[in-house]
Amino acid sequence: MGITLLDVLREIAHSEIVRIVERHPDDGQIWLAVHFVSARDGHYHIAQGVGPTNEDALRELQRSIRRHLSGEVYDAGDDLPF
Amino acid sequence: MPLNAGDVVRVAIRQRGPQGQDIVNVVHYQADAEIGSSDTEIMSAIINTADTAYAFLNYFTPATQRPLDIRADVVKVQGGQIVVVRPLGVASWGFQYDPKESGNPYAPMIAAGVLLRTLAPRVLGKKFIGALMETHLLDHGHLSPQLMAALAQYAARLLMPILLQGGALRAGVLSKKIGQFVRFVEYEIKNVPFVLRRRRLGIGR
Repeated sequence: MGITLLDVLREIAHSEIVRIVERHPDDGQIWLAVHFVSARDGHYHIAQGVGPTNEDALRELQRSIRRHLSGEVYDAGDDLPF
Repeated sequence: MPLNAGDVVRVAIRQRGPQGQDIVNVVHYQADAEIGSSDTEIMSAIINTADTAYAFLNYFTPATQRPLDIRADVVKVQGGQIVVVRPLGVASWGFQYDPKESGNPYAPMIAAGVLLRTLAPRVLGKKFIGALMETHLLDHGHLSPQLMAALAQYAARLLMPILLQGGALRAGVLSKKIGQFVRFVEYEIKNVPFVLRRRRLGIGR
């Protein structure tokens, strides 16, 4: 069983999820983004993941969320366009 | 009867809401090539897509809400209006979609929402997903993360191409404004509910 969006969102279970966006441009990639206000620092973050399949994009999104939660990525402005 | 490349199919997905009101979501699909499948096969594929999409909402929809039927028609824009070219059929659904949630729903015009974007400016689709349950509208009027995730899965399923013999049906908007079909390229789920005034009781039945 692959990873699901719900699995990924559990990483930010105590944060306020503001928006979920998924984009399918014509280049064969899937773009996923989650906008959230972190319960840890109170900042607005935009985590994102891109990949050729939904699972790849979800795993990339999960890594992005972890980078945001760890403080490695600081704020919404550090992200790719969404 | 086959579908020609570029034919647009309007799909009306109808439910009976917990207060006895009709809840209808309409999605348009366009054939990306000539499709040789029969009308029955096309209907079956459409119903499977809708059924599996709505099944993600089983635990977020009141058990008193029931799927009624799905109507599909080939349509086109003519003189600024959408007209039916020919009907594809009407069929029952709800084989996997089986709402189970108990509790209180909000008033009929309050719904969770899915925004579907196209590449054309100001041409987009809005799906009002009701009835919204009290348990999934949290403090400050925000939707629960679980419901948002389910809505995302619902939207992703609805946007998946419906594969048929020779081609696929792809979801989008048949815009009266620009007079053509535009494909969806993005969905967006916000944490605030939508309001649909015409879904109040006694209207649209």
